[in-house]
Amino acid sequence: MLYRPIIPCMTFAGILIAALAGCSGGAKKPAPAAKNVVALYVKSGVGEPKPGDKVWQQAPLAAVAMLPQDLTDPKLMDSGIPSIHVKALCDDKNIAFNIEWYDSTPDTAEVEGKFPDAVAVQLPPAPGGETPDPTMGQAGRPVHIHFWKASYQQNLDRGEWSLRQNFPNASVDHYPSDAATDQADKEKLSEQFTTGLAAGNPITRKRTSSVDDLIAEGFGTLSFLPMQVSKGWSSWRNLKWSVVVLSPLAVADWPGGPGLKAGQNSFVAFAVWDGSRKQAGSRKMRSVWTPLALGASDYTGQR
Amino acid sequence: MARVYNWQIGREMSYWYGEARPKRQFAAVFDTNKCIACQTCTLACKTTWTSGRGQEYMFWNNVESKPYGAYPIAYDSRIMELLGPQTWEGERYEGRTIFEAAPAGERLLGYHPETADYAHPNLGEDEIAGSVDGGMSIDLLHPVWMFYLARICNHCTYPACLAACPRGAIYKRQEDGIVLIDQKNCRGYRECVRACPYKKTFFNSRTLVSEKCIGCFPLGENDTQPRCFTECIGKIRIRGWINKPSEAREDNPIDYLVHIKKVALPLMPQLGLEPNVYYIPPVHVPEAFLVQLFGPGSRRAVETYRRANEKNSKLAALINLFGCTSHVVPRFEAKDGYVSALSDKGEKIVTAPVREAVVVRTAFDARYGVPRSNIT
Ligand code: SF4
Ligand code: SF4
Repeated sequence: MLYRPIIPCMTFAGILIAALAGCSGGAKKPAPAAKNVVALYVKSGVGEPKPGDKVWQQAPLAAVAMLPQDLTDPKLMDSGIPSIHVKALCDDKNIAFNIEWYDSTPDTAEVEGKFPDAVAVQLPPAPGGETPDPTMGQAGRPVHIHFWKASYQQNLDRGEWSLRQNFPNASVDHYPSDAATDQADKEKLSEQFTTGLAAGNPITRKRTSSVDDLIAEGFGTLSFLPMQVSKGWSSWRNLKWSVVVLSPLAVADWPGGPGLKAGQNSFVAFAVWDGSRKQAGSRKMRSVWTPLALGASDYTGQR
Repeated sequence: MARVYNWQIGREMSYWYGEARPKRQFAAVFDTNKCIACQTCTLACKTTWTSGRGQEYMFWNNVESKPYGAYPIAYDSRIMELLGPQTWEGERYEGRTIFEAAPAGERLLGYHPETADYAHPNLGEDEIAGSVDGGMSIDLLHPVWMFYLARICNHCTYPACLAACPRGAIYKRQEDGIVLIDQKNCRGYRECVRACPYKKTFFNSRTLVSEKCIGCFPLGENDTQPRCFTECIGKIRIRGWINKPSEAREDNPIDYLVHIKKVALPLMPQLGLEPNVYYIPPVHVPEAFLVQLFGPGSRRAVETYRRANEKNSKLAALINLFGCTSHVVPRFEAKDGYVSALSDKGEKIVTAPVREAVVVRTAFDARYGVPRSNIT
């Protein structure tokens, strides 16, 4: 009697697996995911590849296991995203990562009580086997981090901030900064009442990209790189995030090292946050350094 | 974790950083017996600091009706529930503070409020504890009760917000002990929001960084009390400086109320933060509730306060000084029926009579030929 309920569950699970396989594979069985990330070289240029673009189809798929961040307090003590799938493209100037993971809730709002989903790509600022600590670098040996957040993407797509974006029924009778009659005064007053902006925190600036370019030399040291150039795009479909992070391989103004070049071998690490589990900062899943080959083979397909 | 001394719990305790008391510590006393919940303080703060975009739900100062009111909802009972029953042995706290009760992988015990927890800042307003059930038209001695609790950031000696920030973006100022969030360095992880048991840090969804009560430090730098103090209709508040108990001074109003007369008590001292806003507890509330909220000194504080007028004219005099000046009050003196606020150098800032003279006016004003109406 005790075994009975298990039988229908197994059957259901069987159907589910078949259905998922049907969605992703079709008739042709996809190649198994590799452990290393091999960036497909695109001679004609990587351009601005969006999630789902054809150009990704030839890029080899890598499965990257994620571990809870359990080295520094606060640690991630409950569960997070166990693995991500990564594809990469490069040309002589840029590298693009397409990172996908299952998450049943797309968390895009960033308001009190709600945290957004996010993903980060970490690269050493120089090629070679001598990588800085995978845990956000170490003193004197920084890493570059390209950080995409769902709320950045949402803010970028929606433009000017308004309370109603997250609370459609909210009403505010008056903001003092709106009392000014001319636009310049309005902006000045508005800055005065928006301290993050007045203090010059880059997080608060008007978004031009959904990705922050950052540098770190260990936990708690994350800061902005002098030039913000990376871009990001995302889609959430079939319970899955697909995020593209596009970054230059090297930027002269970025401290820490010369950057990377196509044809080199290097490493990449990732971190991912699940907003509905209130993950942010050090409460995250992270990977170890994963070997990264830049431009191992040429793209032959259409754009 | 380091070992630090917390006089409010009468013992050493664990804290993320070592003991580093500022040169001078911002401190205040609020007399709960005088608060009328007019919320003038709340609005004074709101119009001064939090009327920008992304701050709509924020009240750095709020006034809640106890026992049911709490902003954000149930912040006090939730942290006490998480901590579980704990014990005091006299004035020594034998239970665990939020730092000592830190779960594995955490710097302290905390929780993150939900969005809706902030949606009802005055929930439970004027609700009484207990029920009347058709009786009690004149039974006295408060079988049912409530009181108003005005709250700001406590600019704690051992701030949980500061201990929790993994970026070190929160700091305590050496010159006045005011705790601030570096608006340029914060990345909005909200560890401080999770950590502060009083829930006095807030996330700004426009700037994506956290903000908190700044103790009106620009006013303080000019020896002026914060806005929520100077605008207080009930004159329940006084701002000065507090010393360690061993260095308490008779002429320092905060030291006198907290250390010498022990009539003003910290809010939830058992949590271990050594908060620096002190409350004269309400005299009509059951002791068990007061002990939970203000610690074991509650009964003595209530008794001292009740007898302030008959036994200690200095205490009564000082209570009269609340709300008499917008100047920070570092020192005071009571003499010949008058009480004065003094500057650090001993100069008089303001003088007030301990008792207002009683003037009886006739019902008819002969000079203007009009009857007087009684408006107090
Ligand atoms: S009351 Fe909260 S926000 Fe204020 S200093 Fe203490 S822990 Fe920090
Ligand atoms: S202004 Fe004073 S009396 Fe009025 S609610 Fe605030 S603390 Fe109470």
